[in-house]
Amino acid sequence: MTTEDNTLVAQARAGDERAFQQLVERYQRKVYGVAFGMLHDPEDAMDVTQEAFIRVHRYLDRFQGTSSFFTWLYRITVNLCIDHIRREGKAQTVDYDDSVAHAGAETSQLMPWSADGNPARSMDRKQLRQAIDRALATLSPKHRAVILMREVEGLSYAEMAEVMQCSKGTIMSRLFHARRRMQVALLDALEDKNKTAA
Amino acid sequence: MTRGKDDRDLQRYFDGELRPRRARRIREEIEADAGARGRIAALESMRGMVRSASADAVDEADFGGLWARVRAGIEHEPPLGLRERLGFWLRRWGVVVATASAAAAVVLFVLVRPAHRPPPSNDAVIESLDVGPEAVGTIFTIAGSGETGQTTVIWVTETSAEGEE
Repeated sequence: MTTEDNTLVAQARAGDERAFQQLVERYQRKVYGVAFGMLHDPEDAMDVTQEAFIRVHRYLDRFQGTSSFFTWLYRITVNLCIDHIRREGKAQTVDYDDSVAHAGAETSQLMPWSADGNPARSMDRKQLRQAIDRALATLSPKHRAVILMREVEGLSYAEMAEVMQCSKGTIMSRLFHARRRMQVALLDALEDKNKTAA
Repeated sequence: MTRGKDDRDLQRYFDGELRPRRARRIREEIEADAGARGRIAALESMRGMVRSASADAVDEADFGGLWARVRAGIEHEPPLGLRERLGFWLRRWGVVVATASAAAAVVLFVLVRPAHRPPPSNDAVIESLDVGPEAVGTIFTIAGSGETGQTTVIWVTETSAEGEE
C-alpha cells in the first residue's frame, strides 16, 4: 500500500470524511474503468462504482493492510460486477473450467497479426472501440476481469490472484485463453468490416 | 521456437513475469524467431486497443456527482447488524478461540483426570492341592482384591462321602 493510501485509510477509519473523499477521487476512474469493461453499460458501471466505495467505507475497519488498498478495492469491484452480471442473467458464456485440462489446449495458440490482418491498423477509433466492446462481451466475467486488470490497470499476476482469490497459475491460464478469444473475436470483427466494405 | 508451452512463456515475458535470466533467454529466442516477434507484436497491439477503448469510456463518464452519491449511500447504510458483526468476529477470531479452547481442554484433561488404576481383574490361578486319597483340594488365587492385592481360597472336597454335602 502506498504511504499516501496508508495515511488516507487511517484517517478515513478515524472518521475523516475528507480523507475518504480523497480515496474516492483517487480511484474512481480506475474502478469505473473496470466496471465499464465488465458491464458495458455506463449507468450500471457508475452504480457499481458507487456501491464499491460504499462497501469500502462500510468495511474499512476490516481492511487489515495485508494486501494493498487498490487490490482490495478491485476485489470488491470485480465481485460486485460478477454479482451484477449473474443477477441480470447476462452471463451468456460459461466460465472456463480452470481445473479441467482441455483436450487440445496446447493447440490454442497466440496469433500473430499481419499488417492487413491487424484490427488496430484497419479500423478507426470508434470502430475499434466497438470491436473491443464486442470482443470483451464474448468472454466470461472472470476472463473479462483478468484482461481488464492486466491490460488496462497493469496488475501483476500475484495482484490479480489476490483480487480473484485464486492461484497465479489460474490467472495465467485465464489470461492466456482470454487473450486468445479476444484475438479471434477481433479478427472476426475485422473480417466483417472488410466484407461490409467490399 | 515451438508453440503451445512456449506461447505461455511468451505471455509471461510480455507481462514481465519472468525472472531476469529466463527473460533474457526468451528475448534471445524472440529475436531469432519471426513468428514469436509477430505474436508479441499482436499482444502489444491488442493491449493498446483495450487501453484505448477503456480510456475513451472513462473519459466519457461524468464523475461530478459520484462523491455526493457515495456520501448519501454511506449515510443511508444501516449499521452492521449483530449477525454481521458476530460473523466478522468469528471469522477473525474464531480459529484463535477454537484453538485456545482445544488446548485448554487438553491441559485440563491431563491435570484433572484420575490417577491410573488398573481395572479389577477376574483372573484366578487354579492349582490342585494334595490332601490325600479321600479328598480333592483346589487352591484358587484371585488377583486384584483384598488388602494384599490377592485372595486365596482353598477348597477341599472329601470324596468318601459322595452325595452328601
